[in-house]
Amino acid sequence: MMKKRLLNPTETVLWVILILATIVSLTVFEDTAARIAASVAIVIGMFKARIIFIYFMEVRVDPRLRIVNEIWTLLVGSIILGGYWLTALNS
Amino acid sequence: MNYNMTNNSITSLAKNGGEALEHVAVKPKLPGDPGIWMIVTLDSFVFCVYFFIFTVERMNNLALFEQGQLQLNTVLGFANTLVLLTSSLFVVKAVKAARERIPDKVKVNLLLAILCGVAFGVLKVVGYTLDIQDGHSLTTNLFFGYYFAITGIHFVHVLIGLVALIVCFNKARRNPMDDKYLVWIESGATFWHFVDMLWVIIFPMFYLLRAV
Repeated sequence: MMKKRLLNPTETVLWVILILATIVSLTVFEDTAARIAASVAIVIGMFKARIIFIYFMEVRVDPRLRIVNEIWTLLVGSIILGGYWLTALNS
Repeated sequence: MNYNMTNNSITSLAKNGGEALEHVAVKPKLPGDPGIWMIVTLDSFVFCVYFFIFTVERMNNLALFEQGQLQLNTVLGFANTLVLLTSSLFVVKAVKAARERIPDKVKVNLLLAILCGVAFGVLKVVGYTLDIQDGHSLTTNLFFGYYFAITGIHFVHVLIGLVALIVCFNKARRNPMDDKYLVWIESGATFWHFVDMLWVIIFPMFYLLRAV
């Protein structure tokens, strides 16, 4: 029962998670070293995008489209984060 | 979750002296019209290209992009994220109510989602106005060129999503909560969540990505 609830959270619980994640990314931005803050913000952004894809857009019901979306999220995250770190390490 | 009942999956079983039992298997399917998924998938890859171009340009013009990012209003970007995520919550609730055939709940949640969408628009216009007052425009430099172009294209998506939600709201007032309406509201919701999903990436990319 508990496991089922964890796998199928209600929309309000998901919304709270999304809002908290946004607050965390902004708090980290204000208080932490730039490189860590930027990396955390991008990872949190990808995490939020994944929640919206899987639960709000209900992509979880279609395994093929879910794979496409997982690849998309991974690709976008790698592009932004990879580009950021390549620049950071060379500067 | 939406379920599609297929005739092929209905199997009749004869047991105990010829008594027939019908077992109905249900297969979940993607919400809304398949066309909206085509649009959303193609559009997501177009935005992937925008993100790639922005990242490459940032790598080549780091000082300019860092300077530009410092001049953006992070609080407004944060507020935009909150209202868009909240509108998505109301849209999810509206779709759920439509599946349960509760018109009043559909209308209230859609109205709240539309109001949040309008609030996003107002905040964005305020943000653009402040940027322009500070002397920035599409042609100021490369950073602001990308900032206005990408957030502008996203803003156009928000306006299209708002029109879709208003159409769904009007249909909820005039038409019955039938399967046809369900396709409408699910398609509108899919597009709206897509717009929301893009913003949760655009926000950190423009506002929170700093090197120093």
